[in-house]
Amino acid sequence: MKILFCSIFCCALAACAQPDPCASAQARVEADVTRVRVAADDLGVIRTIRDRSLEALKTCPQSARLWYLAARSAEVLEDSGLQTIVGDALAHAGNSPAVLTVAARVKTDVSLARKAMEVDPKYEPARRAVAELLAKAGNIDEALKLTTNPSTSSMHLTRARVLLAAKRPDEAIIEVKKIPPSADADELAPSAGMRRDMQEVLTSAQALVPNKKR
Amino acid sequence: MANFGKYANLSKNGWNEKTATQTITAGQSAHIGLWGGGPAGEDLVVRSSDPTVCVVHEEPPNKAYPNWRHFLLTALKAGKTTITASLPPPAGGAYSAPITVEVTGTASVRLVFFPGERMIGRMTVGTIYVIGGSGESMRAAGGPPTGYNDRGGHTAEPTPPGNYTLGPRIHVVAPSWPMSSIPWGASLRINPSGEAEYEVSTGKWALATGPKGVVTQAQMSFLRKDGKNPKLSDVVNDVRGIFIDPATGKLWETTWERNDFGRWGWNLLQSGHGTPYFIHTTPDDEAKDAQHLAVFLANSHGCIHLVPSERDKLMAAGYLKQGIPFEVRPYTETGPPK
Repeated sequence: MKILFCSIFCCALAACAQPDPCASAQARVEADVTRVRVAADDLGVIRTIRDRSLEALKTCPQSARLWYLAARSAEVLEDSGLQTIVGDALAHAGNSPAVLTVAARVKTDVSLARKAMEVDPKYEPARRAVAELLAKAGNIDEALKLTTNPSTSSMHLTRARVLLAAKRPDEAIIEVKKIPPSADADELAPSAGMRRDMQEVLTSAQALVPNKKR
Repeated sequence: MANFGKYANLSKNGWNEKTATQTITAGQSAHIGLWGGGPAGEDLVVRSSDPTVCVVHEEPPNKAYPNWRHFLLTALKAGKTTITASLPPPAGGAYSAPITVEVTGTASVRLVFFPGERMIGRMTVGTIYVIGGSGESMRAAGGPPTGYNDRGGHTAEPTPPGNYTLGPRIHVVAPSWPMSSIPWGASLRINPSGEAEYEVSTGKWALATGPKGVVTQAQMSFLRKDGKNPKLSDVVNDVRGIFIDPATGKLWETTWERNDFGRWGWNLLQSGHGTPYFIHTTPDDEAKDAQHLAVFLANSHGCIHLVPSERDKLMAAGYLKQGIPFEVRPYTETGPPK
């Protein structure tokens, strides 16, 4: 009996001493998330994040953070397996606001973004996703309300998109110009992403301005 | 139908109209025009039957000659090839009489990079061709065709066209990119205080992490150049996470393989002086290639990105080394079709 007790105790001790492999796997991916902000080839790092997250998820499918990083990096990379990754992420981490937000954009489903907002009303990417999806569907009033008084660069960009959808290109241009050149996105993104998105809004808005004035 | 020919002021040197043959000395180039298009006015696909002998790129059109397209023929090695103009897929099929290109003589080894050949996804990707070799080439990506201001005080700009010479092969160190403040392949260790150190030279170690670590300092400087006011404690934590597994306290790797310039870099020298431009790989491409996974070249900040395994082949063949002349062509030269 004494021997049996000792054996169980020793096994438990050994298990406690083992580092959590999922904690390590997630920390490894987080190290790459840090690297994205300062790496010259940030898209290359985002590919590594996608691959490492998907690999880690084979043994750590309970990690909502890894599901988000896998789905978001696949979204950024316009990965051919994006729909599958997002579907799997929803199945495993369907209550994660970050996962729900990526899924809302990928599936063009505003109800997923609304659910993300319900889970965490302070998670701004979810609010932005709701606003942009509503604007696309023509529900401009609610979209404008959601983007009132933006306080972050990403929200300024979202409001600019909503104003563009509202056929108010002059205001959209003003909104984009409020974004500083070194602005950071509020989600995992390559440095060129924000600049490219700003340019797209500006180009579309500028194309509308002369038509409006004619 | 369409037809090849010389128009406007295209040189007729080496051109035999009767036999529709262009003779070019290895290492030299010639120009040819293509009049007309497909039955519905579509652009024909112009290609070389043997691109190891001569490769074809399209030049911007001359607006004074709206029915002509302009092609550059670059002779890589002695041999003979035909240049065809075909209907685009799915129809295909020749839609013009071909011409013959005969490359004669020999040329000393040099490399020529066409950075604007094609778009792959959102990237503008080109090819480096070996002149005076056996027709070798490798994929490469220069800077973006249109420049922009990037993080850390950096700019991304097109790789400037011109004639350069390759500098010596080095492990690039460039602290303006925090990950590049340590050379590729440097040994890493954890010191008694729990900070990561790297081996600067045999037996000489320097701090990488911690408040005085070179990567921490480089990252602080990088963020400040963006007008940010980073907290040292945050940067210390971030940098520590890049080196050390918080769950075990051990190094992720004992060799530094995160330098932004990859394993090897060659500076593009101009008139014997260094320039900001290097030929190099990236750390994430090195890792993918080592696992035999697909490598997707991304546009650089002005340098020239290579595929690691293709770099290794050209290094082994002796084409990628100090003193080799290197020409960067304009982004406006596009093709050849794949």
